[in-house]
Amino acid sequence: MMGEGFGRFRKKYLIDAIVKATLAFFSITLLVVGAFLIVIAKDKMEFDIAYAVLIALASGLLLGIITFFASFPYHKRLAKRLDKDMDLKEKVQTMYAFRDDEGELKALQREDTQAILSSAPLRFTGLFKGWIVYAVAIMVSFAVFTMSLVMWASSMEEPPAPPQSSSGEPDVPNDEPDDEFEVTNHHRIALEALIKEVEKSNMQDDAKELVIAELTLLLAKVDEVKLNSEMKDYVVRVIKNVRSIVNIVNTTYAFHMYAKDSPNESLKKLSLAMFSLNMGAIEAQLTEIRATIYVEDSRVEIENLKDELGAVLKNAGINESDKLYEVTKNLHDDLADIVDHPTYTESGINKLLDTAFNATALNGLKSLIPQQKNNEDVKVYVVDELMRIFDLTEEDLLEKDNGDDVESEEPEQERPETGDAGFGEGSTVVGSDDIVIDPELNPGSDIDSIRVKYSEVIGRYDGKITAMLQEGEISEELAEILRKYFSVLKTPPSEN
Amino acid sequence: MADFKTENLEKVQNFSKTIGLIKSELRKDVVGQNEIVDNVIIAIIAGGNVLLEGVPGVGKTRLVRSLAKTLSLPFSRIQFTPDLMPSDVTGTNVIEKDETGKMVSSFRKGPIFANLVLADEINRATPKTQSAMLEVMQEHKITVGNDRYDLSEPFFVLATENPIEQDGTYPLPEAQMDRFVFKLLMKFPSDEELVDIVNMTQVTLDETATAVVDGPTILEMRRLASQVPVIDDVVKYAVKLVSNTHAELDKAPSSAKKYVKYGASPRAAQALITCAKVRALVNGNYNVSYDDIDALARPVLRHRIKINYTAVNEKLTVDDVIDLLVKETKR
Repeated sequence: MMGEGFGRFRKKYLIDAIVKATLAFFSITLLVVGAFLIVIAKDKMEFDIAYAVLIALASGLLLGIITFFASFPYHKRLAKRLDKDMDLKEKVQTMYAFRDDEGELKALQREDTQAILSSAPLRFTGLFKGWIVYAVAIMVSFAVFTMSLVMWASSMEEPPAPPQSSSGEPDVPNDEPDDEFEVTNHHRIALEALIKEVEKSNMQDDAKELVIAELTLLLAKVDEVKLNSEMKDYVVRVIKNVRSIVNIVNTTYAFHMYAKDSPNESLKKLSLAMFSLNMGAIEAQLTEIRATIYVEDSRVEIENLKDELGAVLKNAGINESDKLYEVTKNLHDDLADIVDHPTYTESGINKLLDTAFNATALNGLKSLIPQQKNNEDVKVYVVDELMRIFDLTEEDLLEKDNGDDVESEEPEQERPETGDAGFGEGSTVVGSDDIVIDPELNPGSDIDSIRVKYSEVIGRYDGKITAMLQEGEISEELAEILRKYFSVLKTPPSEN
Repeated sequence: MADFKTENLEKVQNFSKTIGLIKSELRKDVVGQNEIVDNVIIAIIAGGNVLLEGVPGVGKTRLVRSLAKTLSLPFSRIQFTPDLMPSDVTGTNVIEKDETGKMVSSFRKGPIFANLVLADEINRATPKTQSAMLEVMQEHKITVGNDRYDLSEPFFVLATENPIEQDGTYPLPEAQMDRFVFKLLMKFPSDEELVDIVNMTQVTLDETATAVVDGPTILEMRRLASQVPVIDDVVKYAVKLVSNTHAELDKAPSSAKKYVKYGASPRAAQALITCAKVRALVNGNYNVSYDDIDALARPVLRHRIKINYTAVNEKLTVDDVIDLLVKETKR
């Protein structure tokens, strides 16, 4: 009907339609799969790859079908296309429109057109025009798919296992190279300022001394360390040391705050015993009182002490059923008696000293509570500043907390000696040989008779604490503090 | 079947050959004006009338005379003047003595009774006389009193207009303009053409073309041309082109809305298709194409649409507006 010439073009365009449909199918399939892989690689979406492939195939199939039918060489469409591509002036369309008409000119027109189509070369049919678009589409799709495959494969790689830390050795991260540590004036100036702040602060002197020592060592270290990881490790250790110093000092505070409200007499007694850490200061006060008790002017001191105790009774918020309240009141009353009736007897003085001892513990407590708070505040400040100066995060501290050695690399002899307080980690065994007064012993008239080495006392206290812990007489929160406290106190420095 | 095809092929070949002969004969007397010659031939074969516009001396009358000779068609020339009466054109009944001496009434045919009529300066005639021509041009019949007289085919009117002298003229009304299938503009010849014209007319002022075809052949050519197939899309294109000349329609293109005062009548679409068929065959094609329609847009539409003052202000001619319309009409 349409002739051989038309037929061969139709065949060519049909192949063209099939190839274009196939290219469209692959282009869209690769593009959609690539898009899904990119999204999955970027963790923007959790999606099963199999579903992504199915969706891509469906999309490709749909577009392929659409492309095929859009390109399919229907007779009329092909006739129009041939006329346009070959500039045949509507010859083919006319031939198609009048294909069944045998009128005189129509038949002639048909023959003439068929002859033209039979002799026309296929390559001049404008088929090439659409191929460029499809070729570019398939290349772009393939490129996108390849890139997305690489991205997805990279995201699926297992991260390297964290390095195992050996005892006493700092961990060196092996998943990324250490950057060189560049010390700047910022580090030095900031550390020096921090040391001055601590010096000016109202931190307890013993703790202050140790904290300043740590910071001074850090300042020296800044010029020696070469690697960032090394510097980070050292700073983390300093932070831990500062925390330990203050925590050790302040542990008694937490314990006493719990103990003073407890009806458990043993606990109260034990709390008093723990204040024997301040025995040095207490003993000094007692000695001074003993030395001056007979001096006329000491009455003023006694009266001042009485007024001070009155204020403590009134303002310290001690529970009236607390034994401390009782002993403080007794002392207050006795001092008032002395003031009102200035007659001294030796037994009276000893009794006075007894109560003074107890009250002095309270005095120690009175100053200790805010002091411990001050210690805590300064500790937090120091830690925050160190983290800021050296750009540390909480994660950095947590990493290093996992079994890391917290001991300073400096030799022990560079640490300053601790005082009588017997606290602080490191060089000096916490109060092991310090002389303390055992409050469980009745001193009688001879206070020296109840002087013992702390190492002797601590064992007993440890036993009491352990028993109380086992019997559930102490809250879990406080128990943890106690465990930590005694653990530190008992551990020789080389093992810390 | 083979004979039928051969016969058809011969007809087409003869058609082309005849056209070629006509053109070559006309070129003996008419220098240049190739487009005019081609379109006049197309109009004659299509069975339409032509309005020729041109300044005096460009060869309007010479073309028609030469054409009449070439086509072996009886030719008459009517010089329209303001005092020309309709009966001067069509003829009239006169009382005269017969051979027996009796006074009888007989119809004296007017100059319109020819195959090829040159209506010279038709715009100088009164509307009444113009309307007399109207009937003749449309129906190829003349009514005088109660009698109707058929004009012999092929009948073809070629009217001329002088665009310069407008004083004392009666512009053709749109209804009459619509009867002309083409309006052709005869331009002033180029220098080279003028040299040829001068040299040619030094020899003789008479037309030298010879007869190469007769009336029946023209009619056969007309019949053959009417058989040229045209697809619906091309017909729709022609119709759309004519519709686009009407600015009042919603779908009119922007150029029509901007420049056209009123558009062409449906006769324009008929003229486009009829003449496009002839043109296709004249050019050796067996079908009508979009190009044929585009090529005939100007001669078919230029006397059928009226441009507005906006076009005049922008110094656009009617041909410029037609070109815009063709451009904006999608195939």
